[in-house]
Amino acid sequence: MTFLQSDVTATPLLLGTIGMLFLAIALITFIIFHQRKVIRFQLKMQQMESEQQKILLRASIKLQEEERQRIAADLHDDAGPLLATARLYLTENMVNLDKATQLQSIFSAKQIIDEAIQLVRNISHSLMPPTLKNFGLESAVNDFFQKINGAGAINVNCRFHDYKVRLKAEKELIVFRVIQELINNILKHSNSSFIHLTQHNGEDNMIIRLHHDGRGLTHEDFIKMSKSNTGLGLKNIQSRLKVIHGDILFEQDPSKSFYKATIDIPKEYDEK
Amino acid sequence: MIINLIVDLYGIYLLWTHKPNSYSFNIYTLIETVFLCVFYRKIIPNNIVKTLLLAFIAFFTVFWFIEIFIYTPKEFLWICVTVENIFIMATAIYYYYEQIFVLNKAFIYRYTNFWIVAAFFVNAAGTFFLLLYLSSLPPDVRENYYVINYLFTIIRSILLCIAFFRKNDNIEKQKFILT
Repeated sequence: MTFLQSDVTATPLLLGTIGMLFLAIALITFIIFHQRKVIRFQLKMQQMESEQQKILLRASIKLQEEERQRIAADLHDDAGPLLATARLYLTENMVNLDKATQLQSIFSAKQIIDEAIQLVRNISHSLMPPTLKNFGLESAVNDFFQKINGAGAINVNCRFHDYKVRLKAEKELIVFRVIQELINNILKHSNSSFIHLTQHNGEDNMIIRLHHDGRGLTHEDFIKMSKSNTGLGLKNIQSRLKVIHGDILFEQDPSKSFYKATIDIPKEYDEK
Repeated sequence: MIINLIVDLYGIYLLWTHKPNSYSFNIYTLIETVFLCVFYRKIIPNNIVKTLLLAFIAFFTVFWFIEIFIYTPKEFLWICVTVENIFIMATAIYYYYEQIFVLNKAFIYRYTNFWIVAAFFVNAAGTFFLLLYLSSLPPDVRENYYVINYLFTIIRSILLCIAFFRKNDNIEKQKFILT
């Protein structure tokens, strides 16, 4: 009787125990493998991110070096000879010359010094536009666009819908540089007939959008180029925007006639 | 583990001296459940679950005392053990579910807590049906099945040993930071 009862109970009991044990082990194994998968994925993401950071840093350093070389070249090739010539006018046997020649030399030296001053001013303006510093982004962009329009090759215009409160100075400079870089790219590569820039304010962000009718970039192209070794300007845009936690989106208009670049700049509390 | 060893040794001693040993095992059930509740409260960060665990301690203690009064201390409290097993399994499943969403750099099996939870989870899952059925069997037949219980106690002890030999030096701080 005991054996019979024992046999009747034994099968479901053993099956139940094995089943429960199997489920418990299966759950633990699943957790382990799932977590391994997640960790591998996260490590891959981190690696990709650090690669991206390296590319951006390299681009930024290269750009800085190029900028330094340009300034050095300007100073060495333009300002240097001008000042040397002025020195020549003022020192070469000036005392022994007659008064008229002396005056002529001084006048020539003055002209050359004026040129040198203008050159240094231009270099200084290219480093930090005074309009941007004194009157803000809207005026600086207008100023910049007027210069481009003056060349007559392309029609460039901008419209700031709501820019009563200025961004912080360093943020304005970054946004201005990004706009400059985008406009330069459009002028160099797009072969477009017009560029239109608009500015809007969101609740927590500012949107700047550039339209043009030439050959442009889609966001896939932008991502591809920012990961490759080419497209230094685009990498520069990306690294600059990263500093202000901004974002950029390149897209083609649904009508396929325009390309758009939208810059999203988050506002800080003191700018709201 | 130490309490478990004392209870087991005392149980064997009582069995050897032909005295009922269920009394010590019943007390052990209460101590083990309270200990596990406190342990889970430490390792589970969710505040709602922490409160529920606290409520469970109170509920289980009251339930245990009622059971003791209804059945005599000389009898083994099968329902209490079954409730404890269900609690251990449910909480272990929740703990593992939470681990899916935690982004740690270290693999989960490098943590002591993982092995402790696994030890009690495997033990509870393995002995769940046994303890459920054992109550319906006559005492002389029960002894045939004790081997299953012993087997899972050994497995639990091995897993707890692994847990105690884990070194948690810096792995707690190794979290993923995504920028």
